[in-house]
Amino acid sequence: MRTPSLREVQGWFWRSITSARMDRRLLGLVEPSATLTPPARVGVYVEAYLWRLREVLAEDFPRLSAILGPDRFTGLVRDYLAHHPSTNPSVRHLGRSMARHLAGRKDLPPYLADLARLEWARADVFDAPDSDVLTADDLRTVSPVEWPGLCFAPIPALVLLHADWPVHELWGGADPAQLSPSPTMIRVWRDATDAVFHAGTDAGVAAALEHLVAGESFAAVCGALADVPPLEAAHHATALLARCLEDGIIARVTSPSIQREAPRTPYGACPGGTRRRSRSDGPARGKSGVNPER
Amino acid sequence: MRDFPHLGHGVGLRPPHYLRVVDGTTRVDWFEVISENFMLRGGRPLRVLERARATAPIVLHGVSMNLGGTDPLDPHHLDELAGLARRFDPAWISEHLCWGSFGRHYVHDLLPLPYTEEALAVVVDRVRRVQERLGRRILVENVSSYVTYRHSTLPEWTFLGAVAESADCGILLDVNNIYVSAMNHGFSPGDYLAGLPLDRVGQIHLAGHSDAGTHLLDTHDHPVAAPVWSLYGEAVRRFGPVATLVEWDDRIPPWEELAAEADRARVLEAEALRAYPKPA
Repeated sequence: MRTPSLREVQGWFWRSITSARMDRRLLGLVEPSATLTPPARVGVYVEAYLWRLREVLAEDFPRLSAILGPDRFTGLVRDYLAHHPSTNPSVRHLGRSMARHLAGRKDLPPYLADLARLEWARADVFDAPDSDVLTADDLRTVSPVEWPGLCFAPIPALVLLHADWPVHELWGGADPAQLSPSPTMIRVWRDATDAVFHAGTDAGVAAALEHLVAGESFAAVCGALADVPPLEAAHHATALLARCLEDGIIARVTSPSIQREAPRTPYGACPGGTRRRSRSDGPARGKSGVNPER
Repeated sequence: MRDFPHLGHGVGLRPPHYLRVVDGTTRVDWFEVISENFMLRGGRPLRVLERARATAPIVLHGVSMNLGGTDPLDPHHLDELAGLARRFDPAWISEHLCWGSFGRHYVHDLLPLPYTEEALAVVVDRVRRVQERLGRRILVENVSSYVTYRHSTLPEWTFLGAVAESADCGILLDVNNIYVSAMNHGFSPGDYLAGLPLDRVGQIHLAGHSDAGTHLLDTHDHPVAAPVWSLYGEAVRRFGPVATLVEWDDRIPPWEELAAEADRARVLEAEALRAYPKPA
């Protein structure tokens, strides 16, 4: 028999691990041990593949895993791996297509895709780039005439998620069976203590928040609150900004007229009392979201 | 080896012990971390690693370089590893003697190679290229395995030694992996040690394994087993004092228990060297 190339052996091994059937050419190459046949020996790797990656995905999607239960989640993982094998050397990225995969699974509850998107967003902000954080104190010296032109930049560890289902309520103990579709914007962020939070956003200010984190002027943020009188819109926009500052999701402020952007400082080097707070300096006040396990 | 000094007796740094690192209450000679777990854009793990690095030497231990693979080496992955090395200045970098991807799809496992001349040429070429990109010699680790191939022409230890000599790299000798594979395949662990070049071993790994009845599994979820401690003593007597590290990846115990395993390695190493000092 011709000696197979390394490439051939690896192809047979790969298919044996990732498909339901072991390649007979591989089994013909594997020696039996004193206690195991070739299929049983290759089976050690087959089993390890599923259970190792199931563990990874259960860690990234804890609510999804809990809602489905052990057997259905294992079945989902098997199906997911068949359609989305890992393409990154780091297993951190394995679950990136889970929400898309769930959206195509018509046999599963439709809210699960949004739940997976939320859990993946939590994973994404967990290791998003670090940044400094703007505080309310930093804005105290801004004169009223400058405010309409102020533009705010969000921290990198912030995701605004548009969901068809209010899946964030599942963290508060909501019964999945009672969940009703309701378009919701969920903000997900990591705070200065590296804790990850998420919270639903009131529909009345969701559009304004999007303008705010898109770096548009504060006047445009107020303009997004078009269904209320201008003075009230300014009040709502200010309250929204205060909420964002308390949550620690604004990195910096700029204004064409006042050039207020401070130079970036490295991690740990931001001196106390300056206009920006390093994300490592300690907990922010009055978090508005929930902070489960991650 | 000159590139791989005896750092003492360290432990693998894992998330359950991050708080201890932040608190500054870890007393250990050095840390080893899984390289891929820190290929991140930001967040707590990188801050913990900075803190660990401020207290002790660290070593980067990779699991996905795919040294025995037939897919092209991933240049982005190599760049990420080089970036980590620049940032954290590890004492050294290690990878595994195995393959783990096919068609750009990763298994996230350490899959066994057939020990053939073709595989040897593949691994040697890839180790050389990795070392060239990183600008330093690396250590290559033997893995636990559950399969052997009929068409292998070399014993694993001969293969590993030939990789080290031909690619001019070091060996990360996992004593637990030798024991697990020896029991699974029926070779003598002593033959393994005796078959390796004396001057290439730069680090030793110790870990626990599980007995599945029909075979041993490299699970890293138990204390180091008695026969592995014994084999460690043999390795020290053969290779002399070598930086040693205890890995524990599942059912991770409290810090004190993990550190005690490293301390035990320190004591056993001293005993082995007293009883059988290496000839000058």
